[in-house]
Amino acid sequence: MSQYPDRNPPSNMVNVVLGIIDGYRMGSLRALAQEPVQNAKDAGNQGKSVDVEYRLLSRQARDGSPCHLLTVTDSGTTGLQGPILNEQDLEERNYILRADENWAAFEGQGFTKENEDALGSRGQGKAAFLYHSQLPGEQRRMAMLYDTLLPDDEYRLGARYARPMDRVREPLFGETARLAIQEAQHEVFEDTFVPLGLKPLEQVGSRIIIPFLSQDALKAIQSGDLVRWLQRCWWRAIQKEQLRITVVDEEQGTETEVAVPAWWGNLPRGGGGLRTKGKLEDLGNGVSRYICGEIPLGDGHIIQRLVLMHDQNLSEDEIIHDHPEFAGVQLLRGDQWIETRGVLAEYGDWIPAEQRQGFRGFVEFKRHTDAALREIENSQHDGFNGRHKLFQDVREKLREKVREFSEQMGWDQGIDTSPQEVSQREKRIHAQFLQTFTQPRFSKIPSDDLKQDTGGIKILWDCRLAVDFPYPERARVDWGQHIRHVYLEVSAEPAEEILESATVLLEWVDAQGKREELWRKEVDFLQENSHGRIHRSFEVGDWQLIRGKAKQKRQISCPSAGIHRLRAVVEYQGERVKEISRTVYVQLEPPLPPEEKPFGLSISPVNENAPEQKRIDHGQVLLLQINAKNRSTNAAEIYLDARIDDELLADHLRVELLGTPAGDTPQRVAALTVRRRLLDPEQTPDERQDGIPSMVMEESVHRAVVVAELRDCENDEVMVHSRQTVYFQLDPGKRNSNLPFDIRQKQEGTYAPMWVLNQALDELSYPRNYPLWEALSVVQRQRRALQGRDAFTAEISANGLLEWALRPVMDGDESNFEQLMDVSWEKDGGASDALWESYHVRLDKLLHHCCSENGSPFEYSKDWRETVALMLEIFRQEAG
Amino acid sequence: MAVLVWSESDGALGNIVRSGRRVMLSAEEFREEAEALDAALDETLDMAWQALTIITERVNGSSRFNSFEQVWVLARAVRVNGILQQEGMRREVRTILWEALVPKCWYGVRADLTREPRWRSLLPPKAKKWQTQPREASSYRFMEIGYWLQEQSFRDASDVFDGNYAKAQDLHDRTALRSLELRQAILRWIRQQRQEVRDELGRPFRGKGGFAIITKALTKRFPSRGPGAARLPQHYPTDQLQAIVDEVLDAARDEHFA
Repeated sequence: MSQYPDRNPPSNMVNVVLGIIDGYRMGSLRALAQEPVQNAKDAGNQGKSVDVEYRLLSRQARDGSPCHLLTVTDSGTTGLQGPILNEQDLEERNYILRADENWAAFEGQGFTKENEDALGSRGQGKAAFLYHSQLPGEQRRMAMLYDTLLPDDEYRLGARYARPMDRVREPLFGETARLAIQEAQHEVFEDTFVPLGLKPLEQVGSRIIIPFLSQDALKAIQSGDLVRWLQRCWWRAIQKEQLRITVVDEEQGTETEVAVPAWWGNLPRGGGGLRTKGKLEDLGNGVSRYICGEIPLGDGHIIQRLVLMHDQNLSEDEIIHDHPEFAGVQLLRGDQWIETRGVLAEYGDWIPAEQRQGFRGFVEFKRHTDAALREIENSQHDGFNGRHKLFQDVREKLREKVREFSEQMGWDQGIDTSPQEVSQREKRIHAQFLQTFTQPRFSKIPSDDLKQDTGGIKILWDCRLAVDFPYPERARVDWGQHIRHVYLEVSAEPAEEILESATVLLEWVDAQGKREELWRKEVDFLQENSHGRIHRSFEVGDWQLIRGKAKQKRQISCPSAGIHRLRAVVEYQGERVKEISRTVYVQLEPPLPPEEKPFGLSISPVNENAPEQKRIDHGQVLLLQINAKNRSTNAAEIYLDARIDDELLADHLRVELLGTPAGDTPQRVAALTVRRRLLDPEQTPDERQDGIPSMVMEESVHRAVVVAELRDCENDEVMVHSRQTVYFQLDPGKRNSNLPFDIRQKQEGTYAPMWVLNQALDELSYPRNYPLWEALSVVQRQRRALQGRDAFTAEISANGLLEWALRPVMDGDESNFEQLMDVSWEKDGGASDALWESYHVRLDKLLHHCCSENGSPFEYSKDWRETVALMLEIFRQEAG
Repeated sequence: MAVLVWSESDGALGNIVRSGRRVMLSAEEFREEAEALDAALDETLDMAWQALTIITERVNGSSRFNSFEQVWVLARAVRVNGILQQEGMRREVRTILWEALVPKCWYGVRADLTREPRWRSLLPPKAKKWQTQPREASSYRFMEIGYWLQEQSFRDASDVFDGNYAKAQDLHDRTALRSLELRQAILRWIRQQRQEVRDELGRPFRGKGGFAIITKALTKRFPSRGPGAARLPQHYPTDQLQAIVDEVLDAARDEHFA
C-alpha cells in the first residue's frame, strides 16, 4: 500500500451531463430519441426484433405537487445483465468490460467493452436520461432509476443521482426490488423521494425511469415531437423490422407507434442486384424515385444503397431548421440516422428552389464501410469527421449521384466540372462569341474617356418613329402606296451633359440589309440652354414606295418585294446612340399578331458610370429602365408595378401603349426610368448634390432584385412579369466578366444532348463524350476563326445565347432579348450590314414564334437554325 | 466604427477590436469607441436578463427560457439602449454588433472583467454556429430574427407566432413576408379567430397544418418571385392589406377545416 493515501475527488455530474448534452448539435431531444433506443438495439437478443416503449406517466411528488415520470422500457433484449462491479473489479479487468456486462457498462462512466470502440463511452446514454430529470429544488439535481429482468428471472433495481455529485446506489435484488418499484414514494437516496407506483417488469429486458420529467421533454412528448425525432433516427430499422418503438401518454390516453415516413413506405427492405447507375422511376402522382447501389468509394468501401426521391406534393418536414433532418440525403449507419447532407447547402446547385421541399434521400453502406464510418463518427452519433477521406469520398459520390438524379428529373442543373476541363482556348472563343452579340455599342468607348466627356453620366437617348400605313392594322405597303405622316421624336437627358449637336436621320433598309438615307437633320441641342430633359420632334411628311428608281422627293425606291425597314437613327459624337425601326411588308401579307402574349416587358439595369460592366460599385449610379411593348393591333392601357428590393418604384403606374400594325416591330415604350446612386452601408455616405437619389444597399455585397409586372386594368391580373438582378459590388455569376453565361463541360452523360443551358440561365454545358466534339480536332494553330473544336464552341454558344434570350420571353420577359436586339453593327471591317440586318429580322421572327401559341414547330426550328447560321457567319467575319 | 469581441482560451479572457470598415493599420485605432460600446452592452445585457426573467416567470409562468423569448429580449434591449446609435456602431452593419454581443453573452464578461454567467442564458441553446464560424453572417441569424421580432411588442409578437421561434424563423425565411405591416395584419386576423383555429395555429411547427396554414397561404399571395412579386405587403395601404390578409387567411383556414 502506498504511503500516500489517495482519494476520489467529487465530480460535478450535473455539469458533466449538461456538457455531454450540450454537444448534441440538434438538441437534447435528439439525444433522448437516439441513445435509449441505441442501447436497447445494442442489447438485442441474437438478431430478434427489439421493442422500445416510451411511457409518460402522471404522478404526485411527496409534497402533493404534480409531476411526470418517463419510463423507457426495452424488451426482446438481454436486459442489463452481467455482474455488478466495484472499482477493484474494474481495475482487475484493466477497465475493459466484457461484451455481455451491460449492468457494469450502464453504471460505469467512461469504460469501453471488449471489441467495441470508445464511442458512447462518455456516457451519452445515461446523460440523455439524466438531463431530462429535474428534481425539485433550487439546485439542479437529476436522478434516474433502472430495473431489469434477466433471462434467469433475476430482478434488479438500481439508481443514479446527480446532486450534483455523481452517486450510484447499491442495487436492490429480487422481491425487494419488485416491491420497491411499486412503492408510491420510493426513497431513492436519503431524503430524496421519487414517485414510482410501477408494475415490475414481466418480460426480459430493462426499464429506465426518469422521475420529475423536464418541461422540454414533457412538451415534446405531448406535442408529438419526440415521435418525430424517433422517426428521424430509427425509421430504417423499423422498416427492416429490427425495432418497434411506441410512445404512450397515459395522461392523454394515447399510444403512438413510430412509423416509417410515408414517402419511404413502399421501399423494399433490402435485397441486392442494384446497379451503380440508377434509373429514375416514375411512381405516379408526381412521385419520382431513383435507386442505385454497389457504388465503389475507393479504398474498398462501398455504398450499399442510395435512394433519392422527389414528390411534388410533399411539404417540408423539419423540426428545427439549423440542421437538416429529412431535407436532404440522410446518412444511415447501422440503420440509424447519423446526419443529413442538406438539400440547400449541399445540393442547392442541382435542385431548384421550388423542388427542394419535395426532395428526400438516404444512403446506407456495406458492413465494413459502416464499421469504418463508425470510427469517424462523433460520440453524439450525429455527425462524421468531415476531414476524413472516407467521408469526403461519400460526400463527393453523393453530390455526383444527386446531379445524375437532377439531370434525369430534367432540372437541367446536373452540371459539374472543374473549370480546367474547358480549355482556355474554348473559353476565349466562347467569350469572344458572346461579346460579339451582347456587348452594347457604347462599350467600345473606353470608360475613362466617357467619364471625361460627360462627367461620368451617360446620356439617355430616346427616339420614337410614328407612321401611318395604308392599311391601318397591317404593316403592308404596296408599290405606289404612301407611308404617311412620318413623325420623329427625339429626347435626351440630362441636357447639361450634351456637349455638341446631334444628327437625326431617317433611312430605308431593304430586305438584303442595304441602307439608303432618306432624310437627315442636324440638331443643335446646345442652343436650347435647357436643363433636365430635351425633347424635339420632326415631321418628315409622306413617303411613296415605288418599284423603279425614285425620281421625285419623298419617294423610296424598292424594286423587290419582301420585309424591309424604315429606321430612325440618332448620331452623337460619331456614334449611333439610338435607333428605332418600323417593319414594312412590301407586296407581302404580314403574319397576324400573337393573340396569346400581346405584351412584353423588359428591365434594363445599366451602370451609368461604367456602362460596359454589370457590376455597380459604391457611389456609382444605377440607371434602370423598364420598357413595355404592345404587339396587338389595339391600343392598350395597362398598369405597371415595379420595385427594387423593398423600394416600390411604380405602384399601378398607368402606361398607354399604342397598337402595332400586324407585322410591324412593336415600339418599346419607356414606362419607367429611375436613377439611384447605390451606397455601401459600411462606407461613408456619398454627399454629392447632383439630385440623384441615393439608395443604401442592404449589404456591402448584394444582389438587388428588380421586379416589374404589367397588370390588366380591368381585372388587375398580372399579364407579364420580369425580373433582373443588379450586382452591387460583386461580379455576376461565378465569372469575373460581363458574359451572360459561363461554359462548362459535363463529366459524363450517356446520350446527353449537345448542349444544355441551366435553369438559372448562367451556365452552358456540353458533354465531353459528345460524338461530334470527340471527333473534332483540337486546334493547334489558328488559321480560321472557326475550325475544329472552336467551331463546336461557337455553335453551342450561339444556341445557348438564343435560348438565354428567348426562354424568359415565355413569361413576357424580354430583357435578355432586348440585349441582343440592342447590339448594332457599326464596326469598320466587320460583318456586313446585310448579315446583321438578316440576323435582327430572324430574331424578330423567333420572338414572334415564342409569343404565338399556334405556330409551326418546324418553322420555328428552321428559323432557329437559320439564325444560328447567321450568327456563325457574322462571328466568322467579325473575328476574321 | 468598431466593436470589442471577447474570447476565452484555457480560462484566459481576451478581446480584439473588430471593424467592418477599412482601417489604416489596425482596428485597434478604434479601441476607445469599441470599449465604450462594450461598456454600454453591460447595461444592455443586464436589462435583457431582467426582462427575460420577468417574461419567463411572470408572464409565461415557466421556469425555462425559450428561444423566442431570448432573441426578442436581447434584440429589444439593444434597441432600447440605442446601441446601434453608439459611436462604435457608426457606419457599421448590425452583424458586427452581433459578432461582439454573442460572445460577450456566452463568456459572460463585463467591461470591468468581472464575470456574469447568467448572460449565457440569453442565448438560445441551439445557436452554436457562431462558435465555429464566427465571421459568417448566417451564424447570427437568430439575432437578426430577434431584431426583426422586436419590431413588435412581446405580446404582439408572441400572439403572431405563439411564442415559438421556429414559426418566426419560418416566416422570416420568406423574404417577401418580412414586413412589420404584414405581421400586424396577421396579428389582427389571429386575434379574431375562434379558439379552435388558434389551437391549430399554435400546434408545434411542422410541414402541414399549424402555422404553415398562414405561411403557405401568404406566400402564395405575396410570392418573392414570379407573377405578383412586384408589390410587397408593405406597399399596400393598411386597410387594403388587412382586407387582403383577412381574405387569404380566411380562405386558407376554411380549406383546412373543411
